[in-house]
Amino acid sequence: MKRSVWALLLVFVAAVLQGNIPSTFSILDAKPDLVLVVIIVYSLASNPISAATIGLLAGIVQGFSVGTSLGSFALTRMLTGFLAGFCTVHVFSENLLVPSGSALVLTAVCESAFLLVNPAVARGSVWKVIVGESVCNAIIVVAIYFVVRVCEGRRRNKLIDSKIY
Amino acid sequence: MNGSSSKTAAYLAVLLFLCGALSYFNNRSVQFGRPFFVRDGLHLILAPANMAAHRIFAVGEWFIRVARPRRLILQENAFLRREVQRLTAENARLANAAEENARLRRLLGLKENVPMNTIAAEVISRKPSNWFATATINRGRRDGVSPGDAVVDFRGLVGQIVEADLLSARVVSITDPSSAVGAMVRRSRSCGVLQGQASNYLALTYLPKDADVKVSDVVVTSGMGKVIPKGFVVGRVVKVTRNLTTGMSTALVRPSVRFDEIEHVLVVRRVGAQ
Repeated sequence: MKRSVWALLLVFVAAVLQGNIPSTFSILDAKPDLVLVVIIVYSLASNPISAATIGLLAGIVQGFSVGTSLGSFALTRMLTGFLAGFCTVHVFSENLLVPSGSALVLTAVCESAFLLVNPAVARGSVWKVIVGESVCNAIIVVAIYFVVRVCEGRRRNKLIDSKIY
Repeated sequence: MNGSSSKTAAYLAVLLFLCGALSYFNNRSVQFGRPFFVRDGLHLILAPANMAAHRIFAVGEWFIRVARPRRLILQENAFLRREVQRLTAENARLANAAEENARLRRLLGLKENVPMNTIAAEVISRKPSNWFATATINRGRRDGVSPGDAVVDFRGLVGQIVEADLLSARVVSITDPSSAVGAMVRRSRSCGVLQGQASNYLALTYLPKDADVKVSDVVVTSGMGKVIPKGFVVGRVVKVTRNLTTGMSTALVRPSVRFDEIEHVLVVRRVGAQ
């Protein structure tokens, strides 16, 4: 429950930051989708149900902040959360490549699903958006994962120290 | 199917139902221009947070812009001095032209253009999704902004208000694929429909086959439909394609406003809005 509240808070922060990312932080003209990153990171350590719930709520927040296609955002983010949670149960590993690879694949799947439910946006170079955003998200997830690992390592050391002394 | 799987399926079904219901009520409220309490409540939190984040990022950008080598600043200073001289001369020439224009208008008995009802606004969030060219401004229903209003900056038309809550409003750019605006070529008055292309260009479609359109012609809004007022600059023609089969011409237009760069805008209220 506590983790879900933190995840929701992070979704809000990500939604706020998303609209202020400078265009210099883009690959193939596509910026990272911070809300999607939060969903994936949370889902990779959760069960499918809570991952889908956070995905749905994050999709709603994102849909409202974009101002259009609320249903498409909510549906695709919910399914991405569910898929990530489902994969976690079956292919969990401590390897750094797992979160990064998952972010790459899940972003591509999520945005392709978005195109399927909202084909009106499929003008221009669709592949640029999908590939660019997937690569951006994969890089960001590595950074987040690295920070989390460092923080956890410090916490573990503190715990060991407090037990020794 | 075991108990756990059926429980998961039931929960997913509930989430899907919630998603559908929320989407339905939101679409209804947008369609009829009515407020929606979930959207309004969420934006009551998001709008001030967006504004705060925008200020923080603006300070960062300012610092990056200001922290430059002395040589570059001196170069820019020299360039700006030349520019001031040139613009002062041009300003004097334009003032003369405006006076002459007013005189001729009076002579011809033309009505002066009705002054437009505008609201100044600041962009607090831009392109929150890679699929849509939308932005959020810090003016909402409380300030008189309503869906359908045109949004312009000093270079020309930026887009249109797609939805407004109490404190903020969402602007959809003219470059968004869902956007379509009545426009015409300023020189020849050939009218068409300007459609977004999900890129940095626009397509002026439904022009007649023999329309008088040339590269570098200026395109302005036509005022058709009475949604967007007439005469706002949209951009310049960069390519003209004539289709012999359909008997239509299409002009590729480079917009005068780069959506990524807008900061301060004016919301032009629709004709007849209170």
